[in-house]
This record gives sequence, structure tokens and C-alpha cells, in this order.
Amino acid sequence: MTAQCKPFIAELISERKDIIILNNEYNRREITDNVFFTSVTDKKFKINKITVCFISPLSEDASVNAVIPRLLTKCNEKLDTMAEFNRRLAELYSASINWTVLADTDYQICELSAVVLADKFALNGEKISEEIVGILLDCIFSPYFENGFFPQGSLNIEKQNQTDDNDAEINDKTSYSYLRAFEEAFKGEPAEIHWGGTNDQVNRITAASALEAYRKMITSARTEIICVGESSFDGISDIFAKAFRLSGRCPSVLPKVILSPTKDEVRRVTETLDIEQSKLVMFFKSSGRYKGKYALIMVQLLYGGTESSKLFTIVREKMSLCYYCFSRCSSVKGYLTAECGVDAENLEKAEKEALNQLKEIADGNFTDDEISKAKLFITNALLSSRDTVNGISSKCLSQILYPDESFPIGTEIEKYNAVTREDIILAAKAFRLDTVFILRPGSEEKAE
Amino acid sequence: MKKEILDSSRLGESYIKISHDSGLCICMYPMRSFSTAFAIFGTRYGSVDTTFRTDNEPDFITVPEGIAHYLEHKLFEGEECNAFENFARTGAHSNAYTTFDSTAYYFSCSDRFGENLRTLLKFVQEPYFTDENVQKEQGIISQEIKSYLDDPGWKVFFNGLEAVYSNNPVRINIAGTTESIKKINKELLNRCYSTFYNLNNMTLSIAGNFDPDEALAVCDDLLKPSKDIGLKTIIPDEPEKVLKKKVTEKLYCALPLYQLSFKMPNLSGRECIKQSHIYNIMLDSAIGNFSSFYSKAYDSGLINDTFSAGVFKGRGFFLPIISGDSREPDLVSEEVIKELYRLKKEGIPEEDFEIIKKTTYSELIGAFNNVGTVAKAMFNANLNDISIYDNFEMVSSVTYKDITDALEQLDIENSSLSVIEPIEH
Repeated sequence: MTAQCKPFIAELISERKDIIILNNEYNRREITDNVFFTSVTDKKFKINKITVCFISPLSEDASVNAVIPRLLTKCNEKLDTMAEFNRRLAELYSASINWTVLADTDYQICELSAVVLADKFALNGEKISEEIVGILLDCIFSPYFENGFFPQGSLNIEKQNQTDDNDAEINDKTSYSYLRAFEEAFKGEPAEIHWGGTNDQVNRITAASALEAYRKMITSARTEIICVGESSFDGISDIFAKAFRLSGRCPSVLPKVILSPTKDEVRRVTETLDIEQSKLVMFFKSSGRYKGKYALIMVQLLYGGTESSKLFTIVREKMSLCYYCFSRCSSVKGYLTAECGVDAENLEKAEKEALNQLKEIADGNFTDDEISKAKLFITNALLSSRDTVNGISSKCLSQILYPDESFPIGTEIEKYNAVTREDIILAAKAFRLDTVFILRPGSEEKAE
Repeated sequence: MKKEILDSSRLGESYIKISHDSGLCICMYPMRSFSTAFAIFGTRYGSVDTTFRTDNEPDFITVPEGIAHYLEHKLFEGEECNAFENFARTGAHSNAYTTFDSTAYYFSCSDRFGENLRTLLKFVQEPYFTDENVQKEQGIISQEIKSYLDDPGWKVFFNGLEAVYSNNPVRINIAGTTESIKKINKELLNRCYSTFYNLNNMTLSIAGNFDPDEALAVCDDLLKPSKDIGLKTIIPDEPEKVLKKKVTEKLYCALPLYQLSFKMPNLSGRECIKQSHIYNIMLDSAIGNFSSFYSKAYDSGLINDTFSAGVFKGRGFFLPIISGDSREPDLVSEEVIKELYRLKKEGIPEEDFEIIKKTTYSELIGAFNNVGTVAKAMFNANLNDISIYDNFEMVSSVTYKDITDALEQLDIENSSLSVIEPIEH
């Protein structure tokens, strides 16, 4: 059968290329005061994505900062109604202008991005990428104002949408539990602040404070422009540089991420809701007791990062306690979690076993086979990130924000492969339980 | 054995479709500039397939809900080791999913593709069920079901299906219920496995950076030829009208969630896909994000960015749905219905239709940007006996008359509203 197929296959595919792991493949340069431009051209993609990230420390300005991108992506000075704005984007082959706001370690990142089909697919030769960049620039630098301010009606709508989004965290009980645990684990620190701030702060936003926040964002926030896609992005950096210079840059310095201390006594918080399934979230912190990123992440992979991990194979598969049981971590903030959804009667058992499995790693009770699998997993994940526009954009931003912790993919793979059993044991020993959050069925009360 | 090369001049790309001697349909889409390969091995068997027969049975039988999903869980467990362990040895990521009309097992990898394909083909073809391991899975699946019960997005959707359909199994949670899964045993799993996991009912779909020669060699080595057993499934007859006009439940959520569904006759295969394009284009043209309806509703705070309209479709069901969250879900429903009646009378602007066609074309192109999406699209296309490139032709052939006819045929009164209201907290 294979012999018969070969002629067909030979017609289809060109000479096989080896996978090339590139180092230093990101072309990043400063284009004006604290505004940086990075581009990655990869002809395999059929789209282009241009993301403008405004990065500032998490603070009481989080709420007003979160509302600004919402306002900027609905219309602009030239396309001054939402209908006209959306129509023009649709005419440009379903191009989109999106906003995202997230909290990452101690930073708030407000992103405005444009996603557009590559020009070569336009049916009549239209230069759609060029126009969408123009629209994005107009959104950022020429927003629609009335009497010099964001229109009060639009501001009221987006404030309402922000408070609704803040409240909607409770819709997904798994992610709500994680966010609550995070809040308790980092109480009193900038990282405690939610990406959307608080509803009280949102409700206090005025037209004047929104304008001030907008001006501060474009003149002083550290700004990273990341372009990924099929295009060469020629000329775009000059257009952005000119626009930012005209805005009058007066950049502020981004502070370093704070090392979070481990609490002397474990903070335990329980909330009750009328729900079917309990949620358990445990936060462990390393607090600088061990500094090697790659060993810390290897601990997370062995503990609960894959389907071969301790939490999956023991707590889920062997003990049948839960459907999901996993771990996440941040080497920058130095934390590790254990998270699962269980019946209320099994909460104690699940917590005990989660503690036990981390201890197993700290005691060296894991095999060379487990280490090898974890390294293969992370290698696959890193290489896979090069196959999507969003994967490349995220990796770029991570390398940019945390240059001591994040490197090009080839270097990262080498560093993971260099991690030893002893490194993993030392890293695991560094983690101590800091916070336990439980969401369980019951009448509504918060118990501590 | 039949081999076809299907190509697209729009994309400048091609893929191979093979009817393998074993009975399996194999689709292979080389995308050599990507780093990874993605392979799906799946069957035309989903949660709606509770009533079936083969040439070996005199009559149709009906089994408890949730078996397709239960099988998905159990197949990973082998006699010697778990399939996850085998994939872990190469660094591949693997998982599976069950939908209303299919079950699929997949992996993605950046290396050792041949080994991973061997693992995939072996574990799906070598079930291992014991009374003990079947019983053990009940605890895990029961927790999965419970997590859905707390999810307002899941509940507004399934409550909506229960309100529309009287008998169609699509109204039941894909994983079954905590009661139905207690009835599942080794014998039932074996029966459903041997019925539906017949290669004549299955597809292997591969996209990305892989060697098709190597893939075919593995298939030749491992695929166990299957005889066509004349599998037939039926969806119970369904009344024309919705079961209930409105259903409401309270859960912990921020804003009320809503889903407005319009009951339509079932469609399948190519016709289902074609009509879904027509109805999606019609809905976007009528109430999409640059329509007069959308602007007015958004600016008044009635709807927000969660508002969406589309067709929920599959083997045995075809349901245009409008959903989102809003402080006034009943008013959203009323305003949407009012607008659809207005457009039935006055017509959808033809220029809006032309724009939406262009956006649909663009979205189809964009789907070829990702190896996993391509593999899934090929798998789904094959379930409906079409090629993935057929979608371009279907969309480009949609006319303004098609969408006006679709709006005319939409029985607006035959609709049902599902609402999840927040518990005060």
C-alpha cells in the first residue's frame, strides 16, 4: 500500500526540513522613550496580529486603567460610532480590534490588539493590514471625545461592563476559587489587586479621571508593541514611534517584582455557597529560599503539571477523588498551587494527600523516568508555542518582562535539560504552605 | 483502496484522503513549516447515540445515557499501563473529548510522531474493561458531572435544550447523570465499543509536520480490518413544537444568562453544513455587531460583549441560538424577536449580507492557521461526508435569496427561552 501512495505524497510535499530552533529570533528595539517594538515574521501564518501592551504596576488605578481599553476599542475619531467601526472592520475581512486586561505578577497589562487576515488572501488585492494598523493607531491616539472627554454615555456603559465582569468571576467556580486564594495568599501586596480593580473604584471613575488615566497610559506606561504574523511589518515601527513622540512621552520606571514572604501561620479561608462540588486551592511559596526557575517549574510538572504527575495519578486516578487535580506555578512570584474539585466529605483527605505528594518530591521519591517525562513535556510545550500567533506573542512578552527568567526557546530547553534530581529536591523543599482556600456547599457565610 | 488528493487554489494547499483497506478513512494534511503534528482518531459515536442496532441484532436497543463519554475515559486505561504514560515517554500532549455526535482521541507532538501514532492507534483499538476499573471511573465522572451543575453557562445551555426537545437525547448532559452512570457496567461498555468503534465508522485525521509515508506504514501495521456491520442509529421522533416556552433556574452568577433557541427540523451531512452557513450569515446580517439592532441594544445597556448568535448543529439537531448575559433577559428576547419580525417584513439590508459573506470567508481561511484546528476540521468534515474545502464553495454560493428564505422559514414563535438568574449573595 505504501508503495502505491508514494507518488501521490511526493507530489504534495516538498523536501523535508529539519525543525530549526532559533535563538534570538525576536527583533526588539526601542523606538522612543520606553516604547519598544518587536516583530516576528513567519510565513506559515495566514493572519497578522499587532498588540500594543501598556504595562504599569498594579495599584489603585487598576480599575480606571481597565476601563480605558474598553472605551478605545469601540470607536475612534474617524469611525465615530460603534456600528460604523464594526462595519469597517467587517469590510476588512473580519478584522478585529480587541482589548485584554490582565494582572501578571505585580503588573497590570492593558493590551489593545488588531488581528487581520494576511493581504495575500484579500479577494481584490486590498491592503487590509495597512488600513487596520491605521485604525488601531486612531483608536489609541485619536479616540472619540465629546467636549474633550470620553462621552459620558459610553463611559457609563463601560463602567457597568467592568463591574459586571468583576462580579462574573463567580460564574466559574474553579477560577473564582483560584482568584480568591490568590487574593488571600498575596494580601497586602500589589499582586493582591484584581486586574479590574474593585467595583467601588470603578463606580468612582469620572470623565476627568478617565481622561487623566488615558493620558498617563500613553505618555508614561512602559509600552511594548509586539507584531507577529505573515507580514514583514515594514514601516510600522516608524508610524508608532512618530505617534508616541507626538503624544509627549514622559515614561515612568516599572518597579521590580516583589518577592512574596511566606506567612508564619497558614492562612485558612472557607467560603460557602449553595453548590454541588467543593473546591480546594492550596498556595505554597518559595520566598526566595530557592532561586532556580527551571527546577521550580520541574517541581510543578512532577507535582501536578501533566497527566503523569503525582496529583493526577494519585489523587485523581488512584483515589478517584476528583475529576480535575492539578498544579500551577510562577517562578517570578515564587508560588506553587494544588487545586481540585471534590465532594465536601473528601476535602480533608484531598488536602492531606496533596501535602503528602509534595513531600514525596521533597524527599526524593520520584523516578528518573518521571524527570525525563517532565522534560520531554516542557520541550514539546515550548516548541508548540511557535505554532500559533498567540503562543509567540505570549513568549515574547514573557521574555521582555522577565529577562532574568525567560529566554529564547532553544536556551530554555537546554536549561530544563540541565536540571538535576538534586535541584528538584532542593526546589521542592523550598515550598511551604502559605494559604488554603476552600469553597464548599452550605448556607452562605465566610469562616476563617 | 481509494486515494484522493483534495486541493484548494485559494489557500494553495492540499491534503490526502484515503479509504484504507481496513475500513478506516484517513485524512492527512502536511503543514511542513509548523513545528508540531496533531492526530485525531475518532468515531461517529456521541451522547445522542443511545438507540442503535447492527446486522447482528434483530431490533434496536436503547442504553443508559453517558456511555460514549464513559468509554472515552476508560479507553486510556490499558492492561499494562495507561495510554497517558506512553505519550509521556515521548513528551506528547494527549487528551480526548466526547460531543453529542462524536468521540475523539488526540495527541500533539513536536517529535517522535510515529511512536505517538502507534500509541494512539493501539490504545483506541485495545479496550481493557474490568468490573473494578469500570467501577473506579464512576467516582471521577460523578465529580465531572457535579462541576457542570455549578456552571451557569453549562446550565443555561442544557436547560435550553431540555426546554426545546421532548425526546431527542441531545437534551441530556453528554456525561449522563449521576444516576445513569451507575447503570453502566463492563458488558454495556463492551457492547457499545464493539458496535461503534468499528473502523468503518471511524476517521483518522492528521495535520502538521509529519511524514505521511510513516503515518501510512503505522496504519498498515496496526489497523485491524473491520467488517461493515450495518450500524444504524436513530433519534426518537420529535414533536414539531418546543416542549416549554421558558425555563428558569437560579445559580450563583453575576448577571442573568439567557439562551433563546428556535426549533427547526433536523438536518444531517452536507445539507446540515450548508444550511448552517446560510443561517449563520443570516443571523449575523440581521443582528450582528454592526446592525442597527446591536448598536441600539448595546448603547442602552441591554446587551454587552457576550451577545452572540449562531447555529448549534450536529447529527440529529439544528438549532439557531442567541445567547449572552443581561440584566433583562426577557427584554433581550422580546427585542430580538421584534427585530426578526421587522426584518421579515422589511428585509435584511443586502449590503450587510455581502459584508458578512466576506467575514465568513475570512474566518474560514483563518481556521487554517493552526494544526489542531485543521485536524479537527478534517475530522468533523469527514463525519459529515464533505471535504474541509467544501466550506469555501458553500459560503461563496450563498445568495441573498438564501438568507431571506432562511429568515422567512424561521418559525419565530416556535422558540424557547432559557434563563439562569443569580442567587442573591
